Amino acid sequence: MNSIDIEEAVCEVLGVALEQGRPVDPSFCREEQAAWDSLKHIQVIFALEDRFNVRFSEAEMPELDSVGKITRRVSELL
Amino acid sequence: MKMPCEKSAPLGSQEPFTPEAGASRLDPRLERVEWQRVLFAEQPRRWELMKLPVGRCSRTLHLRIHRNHGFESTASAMSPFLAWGNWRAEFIYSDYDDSLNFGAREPAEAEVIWLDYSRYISRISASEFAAWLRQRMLALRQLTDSPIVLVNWPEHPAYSHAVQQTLEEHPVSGLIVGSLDSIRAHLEARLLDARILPVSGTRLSDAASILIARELACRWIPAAIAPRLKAVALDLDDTLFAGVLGEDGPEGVILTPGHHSLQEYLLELRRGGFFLALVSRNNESDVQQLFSQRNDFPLRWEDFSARQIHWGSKAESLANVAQVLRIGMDAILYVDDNPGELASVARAHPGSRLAHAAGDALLTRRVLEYFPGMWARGDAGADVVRVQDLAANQERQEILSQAMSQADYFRSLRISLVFRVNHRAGLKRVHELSRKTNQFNLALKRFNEAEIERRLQFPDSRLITIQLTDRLSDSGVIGALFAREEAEAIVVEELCISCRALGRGLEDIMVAKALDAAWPKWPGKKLVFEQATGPRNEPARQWLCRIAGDGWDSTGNRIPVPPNFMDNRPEYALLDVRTERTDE
Repeated sequence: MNSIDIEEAVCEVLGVALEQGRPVDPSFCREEQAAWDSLKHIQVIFALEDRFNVRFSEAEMPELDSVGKITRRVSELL
Repeated sequence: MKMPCEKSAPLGSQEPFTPEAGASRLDPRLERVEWQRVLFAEQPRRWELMKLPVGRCSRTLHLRIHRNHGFESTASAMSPFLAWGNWRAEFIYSDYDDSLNFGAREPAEAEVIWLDYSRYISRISASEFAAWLRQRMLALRQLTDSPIVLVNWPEHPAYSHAVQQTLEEHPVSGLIVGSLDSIRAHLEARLLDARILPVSGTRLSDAASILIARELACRWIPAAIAPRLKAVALDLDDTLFAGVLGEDGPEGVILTPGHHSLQEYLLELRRGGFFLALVSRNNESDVQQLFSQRNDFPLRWEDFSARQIHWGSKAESLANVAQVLRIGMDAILYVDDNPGELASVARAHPGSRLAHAAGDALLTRRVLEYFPGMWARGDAGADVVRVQDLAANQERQEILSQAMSQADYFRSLRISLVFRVNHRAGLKRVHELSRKTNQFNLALKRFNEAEIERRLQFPDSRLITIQLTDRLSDSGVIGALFAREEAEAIVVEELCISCRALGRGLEDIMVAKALDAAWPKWPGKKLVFEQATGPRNEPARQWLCRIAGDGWDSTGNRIPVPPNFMDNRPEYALLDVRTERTDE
């Protein structure tokens, strides 16, 4: 997957996990989204790990709070 | 034509579909059939589960979670599994509380105990923990009659086994202990995932949360709150084996390892008291030949209590199966590889339960293992009796048709009725009768196990069970009467008689002798029966109308009945009637 494919897939995962009804925009970030609360965050982490077959470290989990950061980290892990 | 005994409280699963409303959309049951591959994979995946279009569900369950660690990741995974049964859940969470100090009490359909035992092991031994946990379950039982599901934390087998053993030896009414041993064995080191504790509040891995969610949503919660299914009706070709009998012949169809496993599971169900039925478009002689020739098939011809093998419609066949087995359509799970057949059955029978036989028969097996209403805790004695009793029923019908009189019929069957008063050992069966019986459930009160046990403690209440035996079979406990003594009257609060015991002309004597057993010296009071109108209990209400005579009021809920309502018919002397007192 190239980074565009990854970003597209991340937007899709966030759209489903946060029940947005459609893929989110690439600018989507946790700070601006009330729906992305701490309970939903674990759904996001589980969905991303499953979708991309990757594992995040405990330390980085709280940092994965935007499409951009997630896309970069997933790209590194793939 | 006698209508089969049907239930009025459908197992949340698979909402009825009205053709008028659904002309432009697919029956939700058929839509959900497409989810089987995701839900019943050996290890379902979070991302796949999230993508399922969980929409409108007909029943909302309120589940109270008593916890000392995070439940939310399991709760979110439960959603599609619950939707498969046409349910959605609203969770009521306790604070994180190691002491299980049960707090605020809003009504809930079930109480779920969700404890990580690792928080206790440095402070208390396994046996002490098990004893303490049982005490807490008893304390919860004092607060609510709702069923309790204890999720038995799997990390420390010494603790989980001590809990299991203690609660088996000293049961708490209405409590299901959910074992996670198989999940621990399946996941091994992947059971826990320490990384996620700060985010999720639990050490359970995502894989474990999903598997536990499936157990809760498809097995334990349905077993706690809904009637169990009674039969599996199966298509033949490409369902019980790979291939088409009419084209491949008996030796040409293939018993794959998956189909072998599926047939073995069906045989286990049969031995555990499930009816199996065969519904196939084939020539009956060909199918008989198949089962006689294929010695490698675990299932035999005689394992099927009902067989509908002809070229007519499957919807009609399924109705015939329900009639032969004397059960409701909503107590039958119908399994077919042909979506068109599933659709035709769905259209004809709005309450039917449907499963698709997948090309991978191991997947089909898991669908059956997890279909809501298939799993039950503990002893299946009453279910086994039901299967045996049905086999005797055909002979009873022949005797009845040939008997010159009711006396001849009683004489030839050698019927015995045993009445037991406040018999605690039979509570589970009484609960089943209250929950499952429909044609002859007079007041439709649907007592749960805890309510029944609590009633036994009231000095003015009586619970009388009725066991029916004849020379052909022991039908087991087929009736229960709940009554209490008020200042002016004896009030029959509920009367349930299994449809297996109807049609023998025994209702009057069963009720009269049950009241005799409860009050050997009649206290000179009036007799009143409570009644309610339900969709299927007309036979019970007609019976009450007959014995009430002038006192009948179809809209009243307390019907006066003459205490001597039973005609002392001479043929009753041919019955062996006994009372076993267990309340003293």
